[in-house]
Amino acid sequence: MKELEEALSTFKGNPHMTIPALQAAQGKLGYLSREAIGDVAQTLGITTGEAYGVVTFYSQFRLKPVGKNIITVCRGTACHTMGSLGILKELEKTMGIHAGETDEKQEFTLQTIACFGACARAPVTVTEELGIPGRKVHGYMTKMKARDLVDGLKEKMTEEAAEAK
Amino acid sequence: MEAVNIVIDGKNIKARKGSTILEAALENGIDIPHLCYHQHLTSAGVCRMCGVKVKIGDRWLNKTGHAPNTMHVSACTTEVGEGMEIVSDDEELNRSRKLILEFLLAQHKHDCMVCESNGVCELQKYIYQFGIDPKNLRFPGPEYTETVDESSEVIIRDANKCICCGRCVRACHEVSVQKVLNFYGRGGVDDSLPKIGIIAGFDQPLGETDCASCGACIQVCPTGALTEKLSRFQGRSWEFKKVQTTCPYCGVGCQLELSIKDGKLVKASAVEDGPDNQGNICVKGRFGLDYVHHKDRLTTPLIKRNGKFEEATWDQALDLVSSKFRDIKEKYGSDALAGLSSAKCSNEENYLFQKLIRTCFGTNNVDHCARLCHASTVAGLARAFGSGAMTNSIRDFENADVVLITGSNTTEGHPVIGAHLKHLVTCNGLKLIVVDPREIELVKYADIWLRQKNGTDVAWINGMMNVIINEGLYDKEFVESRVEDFDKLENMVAKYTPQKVASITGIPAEKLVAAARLYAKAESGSIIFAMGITQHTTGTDNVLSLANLAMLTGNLGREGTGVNPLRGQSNVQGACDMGALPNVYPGYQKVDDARTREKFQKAWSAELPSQPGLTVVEIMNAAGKGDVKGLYIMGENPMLSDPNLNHVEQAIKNLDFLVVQDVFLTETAQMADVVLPGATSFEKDGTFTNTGRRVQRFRKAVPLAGDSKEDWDILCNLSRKMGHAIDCSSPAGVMEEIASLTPSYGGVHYDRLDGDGLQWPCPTRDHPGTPYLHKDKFARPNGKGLMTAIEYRPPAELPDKEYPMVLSTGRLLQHFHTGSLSRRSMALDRIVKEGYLELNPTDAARLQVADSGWLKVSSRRGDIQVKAKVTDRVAEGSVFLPFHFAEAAANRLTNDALDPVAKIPEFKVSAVKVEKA
Repeated sequence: MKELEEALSTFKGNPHMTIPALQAAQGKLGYLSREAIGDVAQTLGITTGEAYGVVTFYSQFRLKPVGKNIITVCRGTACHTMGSLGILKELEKTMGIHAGETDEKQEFTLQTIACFGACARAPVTVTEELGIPGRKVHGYMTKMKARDLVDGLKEKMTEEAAEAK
Repeated sequence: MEAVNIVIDGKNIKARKGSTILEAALENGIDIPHLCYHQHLTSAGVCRMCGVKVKIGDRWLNKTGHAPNTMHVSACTTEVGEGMEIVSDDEELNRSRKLILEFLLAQHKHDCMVCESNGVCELQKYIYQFGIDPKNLRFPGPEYTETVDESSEVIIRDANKCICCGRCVRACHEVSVQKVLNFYGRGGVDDSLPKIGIIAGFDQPLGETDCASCGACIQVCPTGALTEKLSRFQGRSWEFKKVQTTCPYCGVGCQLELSIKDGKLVKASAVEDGPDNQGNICVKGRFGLDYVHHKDRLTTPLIKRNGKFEEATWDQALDLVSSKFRDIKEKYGSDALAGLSSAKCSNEENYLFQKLIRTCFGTNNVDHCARLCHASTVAGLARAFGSGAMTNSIRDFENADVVLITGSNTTEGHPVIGAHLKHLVTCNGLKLIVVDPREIELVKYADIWLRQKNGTDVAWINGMMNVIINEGLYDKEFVESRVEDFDKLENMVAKYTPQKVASITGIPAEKLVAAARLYAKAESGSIIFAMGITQHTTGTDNVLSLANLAMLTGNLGREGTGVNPLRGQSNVQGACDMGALPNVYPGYQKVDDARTREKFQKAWSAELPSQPGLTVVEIMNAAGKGDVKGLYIMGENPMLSDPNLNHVEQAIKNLDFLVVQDVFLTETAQMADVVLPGATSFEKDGTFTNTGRRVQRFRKAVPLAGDSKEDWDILCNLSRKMGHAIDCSSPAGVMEEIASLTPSYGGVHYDRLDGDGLQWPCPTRDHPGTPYLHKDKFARPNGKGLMTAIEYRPPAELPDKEYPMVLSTGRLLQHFHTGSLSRRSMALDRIVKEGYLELNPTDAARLQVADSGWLKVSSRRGDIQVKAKVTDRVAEGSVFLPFHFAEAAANRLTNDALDPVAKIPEFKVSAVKVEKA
């Protein structure tokens, strides 16, 4: 794939860099298509099966396209006791998708994580924007804050679309 | 063996240092249950069946240090330590083993009634042992939704029977190093991710992947998840008679275990402790043996009358053969007769054959196809070292730091050695230098790849020696104490500077220098070569140059070193050893040495000719001229294997009388006057000598086909009719005679061959055999190695305006030699049906031909039509053609120009023209 050539150029012939190379490809595309996995394997000098084995080992790698915004609800023990299930349900209701799914317009992807490691601020929800480095951690979440979060993101997308025009 | 004292279940054991608890237990007859462990694979510790309790002093070996209840140590991943006390069998351990088995059974489709692994299934064994009732499982079983993958021609994968032990994955990674099988979905906690399992390729049907069809996965699978496709429903494990034998294909001499039912060969597997294959075999050895029962087998002698074969009795056939040969001998003299022996027949049969030719025919005109593969090796290495065979052993490459491979497409020509090398590179840090005009598979594993122009080998070898001498990297002590004529070599190579070599070979100077340094600096450097070196008009020069290189760097006479020719056929080493050569008796004892001749005259009670006879190509030339009138061919197919076939065809037609003894009506047999049906190696007893000089038994496993006879029996009968009876009652008896006349086989007797065989030289009954040659002195009379200053000479035929491309010929993984056996194997024929010409994409574009498009290839000697395979394995301007296929016979094109010393033809360089057909 043309768009991966540059991202993968530093990993040529170096099978020890399988995970960083897959991350680089996912960073570029948002997910790992079969073609992308094939490209990574070829660049590193490993078989596609080996690359696929690694991809399906780590939950950080996605095999399906994701939305522009990825919302991750922490379902760790601390967050659970602080009501993260309710927050997840609220988000599912607001966005009309289930955990692990992406909406039709490819605006949102909702997913869960076993523990984000910010238990002191439980319950925690994390947002990230596709192709933009960095994540935002939203602590002490409530159902209302969850709705506001989605609304805010939608607003931002509308503004950006207007600007682009 | 360094020992470690441990106690297992109250039994004191001296365990091998470095072994795991499980290995120590198994080696001492304690069977700790295990599923994911396999002796030839790294331990993964995934099945947890081998959990044990370990105590050192007062402390239990686990996180808490207290007596464990559920936290057990896996015996397959824990190394033995002094004073360990191990509990491997108690109620608690067995309770957790039972639990594991119940979990496994919950996911396993137990259709044992029709399962191919019934009786050898390890899961079944433990389910039985632990008394688990599959009808009353505590855990609900899933539905068996995985489809059975039958896409491979030879392997069936049933994921419903997979217990995810990962043995097949490790076998695919560590044994065959194809890395086609992999785990996937191991992180599958999320329902959106795939369920854990094992995938082929990119989660594809196995038949669509790069699978080499070696079946290493079948060999290690503990259940019925991976089974042989073609032997399905042909027999169950307890119905088989098991026979250990030596593989009939290449020169590695893999040990096979045959499964025989009702006199039929059903399937084969690798012998786990075969000395040179260590549990591995290739697609040919595992799946390519069914030719033995092929409908085309010759089952009765045939006599040609009025151009048509008619069935005959043995008496009729042998009477005709003996009277015709006698007539020719009387009328035209002994030298009007000749014989071609066979590298597919046993040592005993080769011995008898050359004895028959020398005594009954009275001529030294006996040769065999080694002339076409390694004659230059025998000539070159005998001159340099005094002995013309592989200096070291097959498994010895694991002791090398650097291996230089040139002119050997090892992963296809000698797949088990090729896989072993890939394993050593990926798992042991072996450094590999590949020098080959084609981008063969091993290039992917090489640290340095030098792509030389075809036929420029002497130049690059001289160039490497130039660098090594200039940079002072040569082994001065070795050169001074063990080698002659260094100064001549030094003077000669001085002019082969890397720049000059680059202009001859096309190898960039800096790459040559890097390769020279890598090889020279190795503690133990080994050289492997095969036909890419030998099949040239400069074949002997090439071999001598490699010998120079090894001597210069002191890489001889030690483990992990040496100059190692890989011999092509199961017994081509043995056929040479047995004197099926025109200039030597068994054991390379020269025919023109009066004392040697006297010894054999006395032993064989016959007058023997003193002049060396004709070689393969010379015999054909003499036949063409009418000097040779009668020819006896045993198990060879010159009508496909010899260079310049159109010429060979003329020569054979010109013969007065041709006898072919074979198992199929080969292209050559079709031209015979009498055809004698011989036996395959599965139908008789005998020995093969593999490329590592190891003499190994092969054993009768199935009855003879029809009225065919063992080849040794035919030879004895014929000798009787010829009036000079060679008596032999059994191959074992013949080996006794061989041992009495052949110093290097002096200690080889059948009663010593049942284990690992014997590597010659083995001069006496109590000699253990020789793993590597030239330890303290070379085999030459003065004990010194001889360096030979050799100048580069170009190949006999170079591309020109009319024939602008360079053709080289060679082998494919799935086929063998002239295909008379491998193309009659259902599996091999299905995998690769037809020949092809490898053609570079640039040339393909110029010719406007696509993949699988038809091409016409012509040389000065003939032309063929063949499909194109567009690939950058070959360089621009070069093409490659396998020689297995009669309908696209490579040897219609090849050049019969000969090496002046070894008389080997130049198969590797012919000028050809390629056009769209």
